[in-house]
Amino acid sequence: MSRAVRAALLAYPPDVRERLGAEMTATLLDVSRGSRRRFARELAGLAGAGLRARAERTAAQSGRRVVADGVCLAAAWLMTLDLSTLLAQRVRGLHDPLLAPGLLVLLGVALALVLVGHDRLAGAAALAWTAARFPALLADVPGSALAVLAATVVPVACFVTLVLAPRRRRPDPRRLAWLLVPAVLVVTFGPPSYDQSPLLVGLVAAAALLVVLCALAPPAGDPRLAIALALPLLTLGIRPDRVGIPLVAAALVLVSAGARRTRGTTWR
Amino acid sequence: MPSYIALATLLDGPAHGYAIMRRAEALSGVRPSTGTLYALLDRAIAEGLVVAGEPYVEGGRERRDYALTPAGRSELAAETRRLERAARTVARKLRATTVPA
Repeated sequence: MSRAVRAALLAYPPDVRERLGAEMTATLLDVSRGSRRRFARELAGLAGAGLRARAERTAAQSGRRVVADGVCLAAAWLMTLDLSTLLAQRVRGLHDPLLAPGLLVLLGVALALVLVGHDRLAGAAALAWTAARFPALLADVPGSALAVLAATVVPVACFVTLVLAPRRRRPDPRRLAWLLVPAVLVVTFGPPSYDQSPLLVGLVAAAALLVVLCALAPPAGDPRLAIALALPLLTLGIRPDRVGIPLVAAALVLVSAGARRTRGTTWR
Repeated sequence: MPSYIALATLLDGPAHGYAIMRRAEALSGVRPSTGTLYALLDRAIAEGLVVAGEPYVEGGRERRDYALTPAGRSELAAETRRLERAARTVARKLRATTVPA
């Protein structure tokens, strides 16, 4: 039971969890002693209160800070996507200057730094990675320099935001657990035979759906998630063919949802 | 109103979370949920209405006693006066209006 309470407490901001978690667990167990129904109700109430606490804290920040936080989060997700894709290609045995070990290591370092909480350093490493791969990227798509530039604009803007407006977070190496995500993505999309486990593909799809719901669901919806989801979609959508149009449209919907909530009063 | 009741329970002296919930139930007939109670306490502490004591362990469970500050007592008194005024107005209106049979 206390394990379930600990899981529900994850909805709270970490400092509140640290300060009040043990006490809230004790009180909840006392209140719901002998009644499973009451325990379930209390548990749901606790998770809801935790999400509200997070939402209130976000709403108390300035709009500019919320947007910057969303863009920084988008930078981390873009790095995750890029690292997963490039590693998966490497695992499949592809050889390409874009898959050079040095570049992959640089991107991995940037992702690790942003996860731990060193946003400025991570942004600088990611910008160095972008600059180092740019000639190979241009050579990879001959004659479409404009398309390459367009596809690079959003990630570069995100990395620059990391450098100029880093999030205020205490460094925490436990966040490296997020590296499991690219590992799972590599396993999902990487086998040489292109055989993807339906379970893993399902898990990835469910996780993506969960993020969308968290970004859009009122009242606890977080504009930062909407912004963070929109920017990778926009990056994927900027391409010469028409396949990207739905992605760009989805990104615009998310950006407008994020902007509406960032304006503050209605969202709060 | 839950915030008023939670503060009012501390007039009987400092209490930990579970004791506050039981006092609230005895006072108003409604027991706040754990999440609601701690959100109220957190806000009351930030506003200087309540102070939290040092954590201690009782029966293997971590507790902390909460106590009303002088500012919390004043706020409670002001809120009580507001509620009394509102109750008097409502009572007057109830007497003045008739319910069609």
